[in-house]
Amino acid sequence: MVDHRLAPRSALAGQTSPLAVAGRVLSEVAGLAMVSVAARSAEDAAVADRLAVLAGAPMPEPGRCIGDASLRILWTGPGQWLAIARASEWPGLAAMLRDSTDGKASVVPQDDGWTCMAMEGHDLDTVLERLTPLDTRAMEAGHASRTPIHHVGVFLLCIEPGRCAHILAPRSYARSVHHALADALRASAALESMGT
Amino acid sequence: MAEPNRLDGGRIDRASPLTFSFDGKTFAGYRGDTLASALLAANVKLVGRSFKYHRPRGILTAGSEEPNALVGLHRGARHDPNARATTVELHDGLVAVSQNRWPSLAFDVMAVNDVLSRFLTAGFYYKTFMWPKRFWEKFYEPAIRSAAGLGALSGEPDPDRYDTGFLHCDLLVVGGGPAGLAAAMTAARSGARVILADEDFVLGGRLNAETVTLDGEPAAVWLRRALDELHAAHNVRLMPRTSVFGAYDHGVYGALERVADHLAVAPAHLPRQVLWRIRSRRAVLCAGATERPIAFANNDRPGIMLAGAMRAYANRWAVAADRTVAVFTNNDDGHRTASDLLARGVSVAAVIDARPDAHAQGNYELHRGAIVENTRGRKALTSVDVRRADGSRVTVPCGALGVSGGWNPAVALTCHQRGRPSWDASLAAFVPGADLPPGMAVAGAANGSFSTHAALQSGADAASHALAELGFEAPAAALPLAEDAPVRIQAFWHVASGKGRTWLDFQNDVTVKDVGLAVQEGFRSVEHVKRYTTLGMATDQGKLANTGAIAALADLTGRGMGETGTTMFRPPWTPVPIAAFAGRSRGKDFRPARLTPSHDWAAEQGAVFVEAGLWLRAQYFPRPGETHWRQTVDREVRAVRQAVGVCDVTTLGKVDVQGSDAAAFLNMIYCNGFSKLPVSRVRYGLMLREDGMVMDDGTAARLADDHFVVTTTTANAALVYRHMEFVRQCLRSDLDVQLVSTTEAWAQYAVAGPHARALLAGIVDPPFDLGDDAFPYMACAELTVCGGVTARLFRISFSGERAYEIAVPACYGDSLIRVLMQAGAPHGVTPYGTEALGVLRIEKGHPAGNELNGQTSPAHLSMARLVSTKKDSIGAVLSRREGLSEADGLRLVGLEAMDGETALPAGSHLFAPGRPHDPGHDEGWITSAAYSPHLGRSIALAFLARGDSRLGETIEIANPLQGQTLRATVVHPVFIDPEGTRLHG
Repeated sequence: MVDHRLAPRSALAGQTSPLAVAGRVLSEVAGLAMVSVAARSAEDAAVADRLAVLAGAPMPEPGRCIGDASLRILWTGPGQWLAIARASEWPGLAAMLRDSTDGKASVVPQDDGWTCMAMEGHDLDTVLERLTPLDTRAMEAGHASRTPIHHVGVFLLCIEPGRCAHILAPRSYARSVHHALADALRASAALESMGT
Repeated sequence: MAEPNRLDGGRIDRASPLTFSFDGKTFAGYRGDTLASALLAANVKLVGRSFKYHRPRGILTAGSEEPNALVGLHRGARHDPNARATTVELHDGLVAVSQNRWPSLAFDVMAVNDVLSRFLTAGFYYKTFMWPKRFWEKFYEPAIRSAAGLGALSGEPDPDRYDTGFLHCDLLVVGGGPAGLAAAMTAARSGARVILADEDFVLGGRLNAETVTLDGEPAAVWLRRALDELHAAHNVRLMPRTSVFGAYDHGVYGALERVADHLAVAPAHLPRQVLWRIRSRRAVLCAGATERPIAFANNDRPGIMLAGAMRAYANRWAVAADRTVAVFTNNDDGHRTASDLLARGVSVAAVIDARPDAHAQGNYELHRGAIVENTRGRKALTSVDVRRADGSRVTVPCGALGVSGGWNPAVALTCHQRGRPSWDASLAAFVPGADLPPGMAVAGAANGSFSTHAALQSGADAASHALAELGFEAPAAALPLAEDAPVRIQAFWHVASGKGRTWLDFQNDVTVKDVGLAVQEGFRSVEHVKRYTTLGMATDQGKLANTGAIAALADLTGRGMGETGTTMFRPPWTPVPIAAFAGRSRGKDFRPARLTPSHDWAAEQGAVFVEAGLWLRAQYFPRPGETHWRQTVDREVRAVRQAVGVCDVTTLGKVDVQGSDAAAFLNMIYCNGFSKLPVSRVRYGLMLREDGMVMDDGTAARLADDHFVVTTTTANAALVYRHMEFVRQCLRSDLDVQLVSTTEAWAQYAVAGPHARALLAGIVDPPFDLGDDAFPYMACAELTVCGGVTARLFRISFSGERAYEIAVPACYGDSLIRVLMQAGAPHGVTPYGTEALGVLRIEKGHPAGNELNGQTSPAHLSMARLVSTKKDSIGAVLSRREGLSEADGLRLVGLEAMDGETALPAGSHLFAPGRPHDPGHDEGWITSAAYSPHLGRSIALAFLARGDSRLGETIEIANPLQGQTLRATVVHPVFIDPEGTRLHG
């Protein structure tokens, strides 16, 4: 019997990533583990408490996320969160969450359901204003919101105001969203090249 | 290249000379010129032909209200028709051409319309071209369209880029004149987020066009300081070249920014224009005012322009409309033009003032209480006929006439949410009404505050007040001393005496007489008169014509101006290209595309893709030598029936359902029962709408007591998930159930055919047992494949063959399909696409989207018995109502073509043989059709009245679209293996 092995391939494999445009960089954040946690009936508070122990911080309010690049937890609905972690640092994240919530939550691995793109550089708001109806200039680190970008419902996470944003796009849409982000980066750069 | 009309001074950059062409001839100008100012400098007066009568027309205004000077810009695909020469910023190499003339602007054959004008009055088309009726579309309309009209599109795709975006501010200031600048400076000092937008390419508004002083210095000095201050303020965004064109709900304004139109060569990737949606908490409208003409005989001759425009050309662009000019006015503003031009060395032949008590403001001849009765000159003005107060007549030679009938506040944006302006008799103007869009205030000339002082003060006050409402401390900015002249005007609309047509609407060639005709025909409402005469339509939207027309109508109907009222103002204030609305969403980026994890693999195989919603799915995989898609599809279908095929089914919707009440929840949303489904088993589920119609079908796999995975059809994935969330949150919030969509998280492949198990045996990790006892039809399992990768395996079949669906985390999808091809090679594995998938399911009689079209009940599908009577579920009760469940209703049947290969077209209707093909005898229709390689003939699924009791009957198939009548035999909808022996293996 031939020994067949599977190799992972990210949604943006084959695209120019990272893409650098005039001092700004768009890249795919690969190697992430993502897990949805939804509290069972009347267990919202208990689950939030247990997750807080794991994450070392209280669970985020609506429109917010907590944590850092190692483990970030995003509010996705009443009693629902999405944990995003570096897979290398959090092996078996789903099992860990299942254990820690101990039957009080439904835990669903989403590993490749979302593609995370990071946009970094100067004056990001002048790029993002071409993409999202959100007022990104009013966003602080830890703000996170659902928003349409190029007709696709994505999560926009403010990592550092004006300097770094993460965009979580449903995997199947990743190339279209990446194309829109790249297009906006190039348009902004062209505009800046004109001066005022 | 000479500029006979260029004066000294002005606010143009004489260090930057430019050249451009108009109708093939080269001209010179300067940076800061508009196309109109540069043409006037070169003494080009004839710039266009009118819409209907092809009359020679010249530049009338100096702004976006221009109705006459419409030109085509650029060559080839970039050709941009109907550009207003008065707003086109000159750049080096600009190419402009005149429009609506043939063979040339100077000699236009269609000017014959003007001679025939007495036959072409308002309503002419309605009366003349009504019969014979069929002539309208094929003859009259094309003929009229080619004779009348403005510019034409290139017909090629627009090569430019466009963009859209979103801006946010506390205060939006619309208009950068004295009122807008004072508002923005006040707001800037408060720290609020401010956007100042102006459609002009320089800020300052009329301050650039007038000789007024501020604090005793030329306005330009203060203007420079004001702009420096605003540029330096980090909380202020200055947006010149940006037309705010609409006021929408919740403080949202639409704005078009012309980013690259003024560049000879634009950088790559630069959008030409950007459509902004500006969300403001408050807005101050400082859009200024538009001067209006007076109607008199032949008032459209090139050389006749608005007095304020004439002054603007002299002061801002250093251009005299002619070396000898005259002015016709009913207010003091006209005199400003005379004195400014005199001061610049232009000869002012006379000022004709309709007011008997007018005062001269300079050393020029003034005719008080006088009117202009007619004008002379073939393609440019040479003189005007004046009737003086005493009745005597005099001819005044002049090459240009400035006309001022007073100023109309630019109220359009105040009316975009159904507000109506009110008539102010002292200003002889419509001013903003009380019913403004929420959050909007109006200042400056737009509010009827015409003096420079009043504009500055009202702008500052409006900003201060608006920001105070938002909690900002915003004392009004310190304002410079400025003139505060009162408005002295005597309403005067049109000259009744004089021979010749008196033009109201230059863009649509509507005269005072046309309004009279409309009244004579019984039209009273200003809206009806607009539509009958076409007054106020087209690119200028009646910015100049409306008030004069309302006055004519008021006169004729004996009503006041206020009572007559204005037509409704709607967005956009100025034309917005459709391309700007589209932004980046055009061509293949019109909408996003969803790709499955193995999309690249399919592309490598040469797959032909088909759009399924937003998804791109492999439709079929042609091989070398196959010349027709059906050869490919037949091969793929045979491979599945004889060996094994693999199809990407990642696009199916997947919803993870967990919770202690998960089974009860599924019992609610599916009409068939789920509570007794054992763990590790899958069940077909039929989902009904509240009204008893079928919503979707799919499967639910029970992975644990409290854990199911629901699959939906590709098309309904979002609909079903939304429905499930609605049921969870709104109907059964008592249940402990959690839903998470996992459509994106898993790559899933159907492995179907007699050798499917053998193929899978090569990849599943031991000790998993694929044997039929351990893993029978409708089993499911969580397992690992290829040495430890998490996977889910479902033994379900859409094709009727022994089949499995295997799912792996999406990142392994690409790898898995390659492994399946490799491992399956010895078993004759063949990738198949959605086309073969369709053939296989039709052969097996499985309903899909074509059958589940929202008009189908379970009884129609012969699935009424599936609707459980032992429990309640959504739609169960209504599915049993009369009309959905009657015994003689429609039933799903199969059809076999009697002559074998002739396709049975889907959508064809069914009739008993020999009966008339009319709705009264209609017995059903074909929903899905295919050629069955297995049966060697064309087959179809159809809904047929009493179909289940008519097996073996012959039916007539009417396809009137192609004039076809075919015959088929009614058969059981399951064409293949009705006992299911192949399925169970």
